[in-house]
Amino acid sequence: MHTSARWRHALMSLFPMLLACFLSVSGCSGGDVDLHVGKNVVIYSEPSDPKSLDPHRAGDVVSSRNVSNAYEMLYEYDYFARPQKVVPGLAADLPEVSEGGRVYTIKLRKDVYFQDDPCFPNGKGRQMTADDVVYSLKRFAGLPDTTGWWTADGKFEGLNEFRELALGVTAGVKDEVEWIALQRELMNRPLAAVRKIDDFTVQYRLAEPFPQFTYVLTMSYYAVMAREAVEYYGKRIQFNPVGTGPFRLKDWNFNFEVVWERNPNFRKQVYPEIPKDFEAVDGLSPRESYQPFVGKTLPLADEVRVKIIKESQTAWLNFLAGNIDFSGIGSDEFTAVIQNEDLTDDMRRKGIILKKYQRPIIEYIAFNMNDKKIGAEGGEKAKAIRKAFSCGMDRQRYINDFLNGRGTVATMLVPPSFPEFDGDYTYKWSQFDPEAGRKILTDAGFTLVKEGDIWQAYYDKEKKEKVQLTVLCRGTSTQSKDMAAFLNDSGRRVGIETNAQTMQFPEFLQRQHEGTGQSYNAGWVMDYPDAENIMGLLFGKNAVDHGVNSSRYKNPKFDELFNKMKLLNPNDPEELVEKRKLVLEMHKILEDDCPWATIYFQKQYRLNHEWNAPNAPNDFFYGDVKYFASDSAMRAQRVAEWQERPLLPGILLVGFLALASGLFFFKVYRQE
Amino acid sequence: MWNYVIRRLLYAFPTLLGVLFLTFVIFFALNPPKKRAAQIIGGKGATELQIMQWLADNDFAELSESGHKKIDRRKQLTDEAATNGKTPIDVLKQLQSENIAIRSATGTSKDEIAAKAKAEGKSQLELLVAWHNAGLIDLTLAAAEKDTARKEAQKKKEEAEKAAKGEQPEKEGADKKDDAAAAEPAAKPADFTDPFAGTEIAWGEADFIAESTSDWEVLLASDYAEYNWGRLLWNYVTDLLTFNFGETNEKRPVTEVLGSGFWPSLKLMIPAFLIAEFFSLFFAMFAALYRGTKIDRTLVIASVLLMSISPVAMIMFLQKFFASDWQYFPISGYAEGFAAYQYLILPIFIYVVVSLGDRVRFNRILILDEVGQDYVRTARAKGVGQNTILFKHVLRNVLIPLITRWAVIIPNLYLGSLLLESFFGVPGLGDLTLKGVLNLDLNLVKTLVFIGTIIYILATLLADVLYAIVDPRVKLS
Repeated sequence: MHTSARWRHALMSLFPMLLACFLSVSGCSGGDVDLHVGKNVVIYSEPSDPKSLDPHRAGDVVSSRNVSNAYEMLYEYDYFARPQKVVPGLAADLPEVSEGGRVYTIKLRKDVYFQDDPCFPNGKGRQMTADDVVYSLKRFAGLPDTTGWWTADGKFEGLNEFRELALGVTAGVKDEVEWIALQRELMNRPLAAVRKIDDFTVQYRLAEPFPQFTYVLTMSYYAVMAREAVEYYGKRIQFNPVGTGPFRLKDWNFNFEVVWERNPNFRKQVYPEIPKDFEAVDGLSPRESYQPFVGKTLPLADEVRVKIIKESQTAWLNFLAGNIDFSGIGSDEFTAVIQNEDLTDDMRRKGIILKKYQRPIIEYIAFNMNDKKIGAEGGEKAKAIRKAFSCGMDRQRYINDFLNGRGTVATMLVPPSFPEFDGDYTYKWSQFDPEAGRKILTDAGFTLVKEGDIWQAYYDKEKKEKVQLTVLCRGTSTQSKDMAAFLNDSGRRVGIETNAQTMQFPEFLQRQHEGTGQSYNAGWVMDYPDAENIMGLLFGKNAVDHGVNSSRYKNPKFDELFNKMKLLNPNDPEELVEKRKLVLEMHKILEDDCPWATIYFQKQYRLNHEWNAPNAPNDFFYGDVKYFASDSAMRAQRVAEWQERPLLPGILLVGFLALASGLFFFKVYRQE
Repeated sequence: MWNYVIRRLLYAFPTLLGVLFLTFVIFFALNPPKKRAAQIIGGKGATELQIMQWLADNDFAELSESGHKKIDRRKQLTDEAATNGKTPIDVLKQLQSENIAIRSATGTSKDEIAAKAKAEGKSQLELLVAWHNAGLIDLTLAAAEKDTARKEAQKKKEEAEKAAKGEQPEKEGADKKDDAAAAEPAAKPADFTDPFAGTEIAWGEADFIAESTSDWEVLLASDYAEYNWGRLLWNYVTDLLTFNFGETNEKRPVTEVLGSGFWPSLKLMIPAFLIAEFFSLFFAMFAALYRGTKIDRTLVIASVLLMSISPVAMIMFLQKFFASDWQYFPISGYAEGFAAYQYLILPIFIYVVVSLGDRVRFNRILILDEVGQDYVRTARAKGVGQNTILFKHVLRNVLIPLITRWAVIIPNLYLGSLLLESFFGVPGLGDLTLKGVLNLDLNLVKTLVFIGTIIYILATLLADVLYAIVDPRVKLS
């Protein structure tokens, strides 16, 4: 053997050695996840960092849920009540409403202290008073870049003027010290919208009666902040939340993890009694499962770790491994998890619990009533097109094929989880019946022809002008493309040549705001459980540019009923009866005009591990993290049980690589 | 050599400026600030005012010609008023009738305050406070209350007038009974004092000047020029050259964002790069040495196979099997210091496997090129040992194209890997560029481009210096 060959052989043996080292080292490293035994630690994942922890600024879901850990609002939602009900948070009681529903006098709790923070004298959190509530509304109204101004716009007495003034004063001021000083001057201005009566009583004055006001006060834009903290931290307040909430921020590693720990200054709050008329509906667990927690001090968890995991596969695998406590189901995993609308045996063996609940999100087609062809101007013919198109949509098939069954046909505009929902009623244009749709068209004088499998309607006997419809679809995701295909197909069934266009979301919104589309495939996430929120989308006053009434529907009769309906409180049994009646009457009007074709309500599937305290999903309530708990010992035990590192695949793999490299180097040797 | 280095560094300047100019054109000309503002404010239906405010806050807008004209006209009027004995209110009314904006709630335009403050060498706030102390303006609560009282009284008066006309008084009248302050008489115009000739300053006057929101918005917005290209370019270049990177859309300083993701990305990418280069050179040497034999063919086929597998599929499969099903590795995660490597082994392994095919083929060709050279044949003929040829001569010459390649790859290592980082939960910079572009986050994107350019310039310079060190034939002059 040459000396040179020895060199090469040394190199050759190096490779399998390195490989073996690599695999064995890595084999030891797996699964060393901190299990937090002995502490009650809740771990869940979000797909992105919170945009901001400033409650008055950000309103997206991730931010809201995180913000609600640190801050509290005057009101929150009852944990168990379905349909959802508002209960006092920082307020001592429900508001006292006077002057025909325009003045809300609210008593505050006296046991609320801010968390300890260097911004306070001696670093001790001080008591929250009416001044803080007044200050918070002013600060919110004065923020140029809040996403939540729509919740207050025009609703308070004098608040719009205050905002104009505030924006005028602070416009273009870039120096932070100066900005804060100007803000300070502003905050000293008296404001009609909210006034301090005494240290623990505030009074809101509204521009007009607004019975849904307490719902608005549950939103994080109305969180109570301390003036000292805002001035102490300036812009950095969004990274240093100082609130009265159940948790305080322990650590925020951007792109990785947000850690919350129990706030020792949190007011005394205990897990609520389970109501007598409790029913395990809409995502609630059986009564017994909540029983062990009743009377325990909130928050239940010592620590909440929010992992930022962008990739859905990674989140899912972490959930399966027990590193994350709860999870949704991605479309990739759906068939492996759910069979026949229930968990697969594999999942059940792992002790995973499935929860299904209704989300207050409606998907619909809004026809533009200002359009010449299909709008109000088109008269009976246009009406027929709108109705026929609604008949052509096989909604159940869409739900089954594209949503894995996670939806229910929208038989009303009001979601099933709302008190105003009526199960006996079906909106006439929510049912799939292409034959009826075609009949509507022929009755209205259209010429209907079957071309192959496709129906086509014409305005005239000579078949010159086709009946066409353009639908704008929001977003360019797969889901949006599926929807576009579904709409095109639906139109063909009844003879309407449909052109569904997918577009970027901002562009879609722009078109919708300006009212330049023929029809829109729109979605609406309800803000609070009151039919006013959804029916307002068809209210005549909102039928303006940038208004929420994107179909620009105007019907004085509908508006009159709406004005009556919106003043009724759904939590009052007597008023509810009246309200339901009015909502039905409004639907009857819509049946005649058909400005919308409803499609479906979203349904959510959520998975929990058995070591989680049973939760009560509620899409309106972001402050429910304080009710979360995890049995860390049980988690550790389960993770240990599930831990199996089969040696065989590893051995096979190393063996294969060793064999391959052995053969390879043997060849090399032979070549010598 | 030093001359060369210095000259290259001087060349770097125009290069950098050129890149800055090009990116400026791409960012601004293709997507003008106003359009971008509308896109960012987006969902909420941006109004003209919101857009102008965004532009002003982000230094894109300045006072327009019409804005300047308005200011001039105002000065003229106030000067006249001082001599004619007119009250400030008269001036304001005149301005209002001419549809001229006065852009500040203080009644003095912001620019005037700013100019005055600059002239006196004070901050705007100091100036305001000084005015307040001098009794020129009133910033106290009392003044604000007086102001409110005045307006309420005015409202009452209007209602009374309505009632006099025989109309039913509106409901609000009854609601305001408890506001005793409202009964106070209206403050007369003479109550207001003026700091400059005839300029009225009192909180709350904004409503007086522009009565409805829409008027106010239009007036405010029209005070700005859309943008001044020259100034925009100047700001763009000077900001970057002074390392003033600004804030992201989420209001985090760009430097902080880069700083927090820098190490995680490097921790992942540097070992991955080194290991991949080592193994690829190793295999490439065999393939080149035994060119045309089964060894060569096997290696080339294996390389092509590896190149054909999609990286995403590779990541998903290996993560699923190695980390989830067989639990040899953690699924995802990160830790401080060296402990991070328990989480990083699998992504590094995947990087090596995924990039091996491409690298082996590339390096094989480099080595083949050298092996075919005359000097190798001569050395062989002289009886020089195989290893001496390989390591002393061939590998050394191969280093030149390799350095060229590394000079391209290494500057990008700090940006991490988008796929690996998001699948393995590494808090690096991998998705930063994508996120920046998707969110229209100008400050972030321009900083990344700028830093990328600098690193690239330095890397190519370093590569040139290395050429000279590796290859004595190369003279840097």
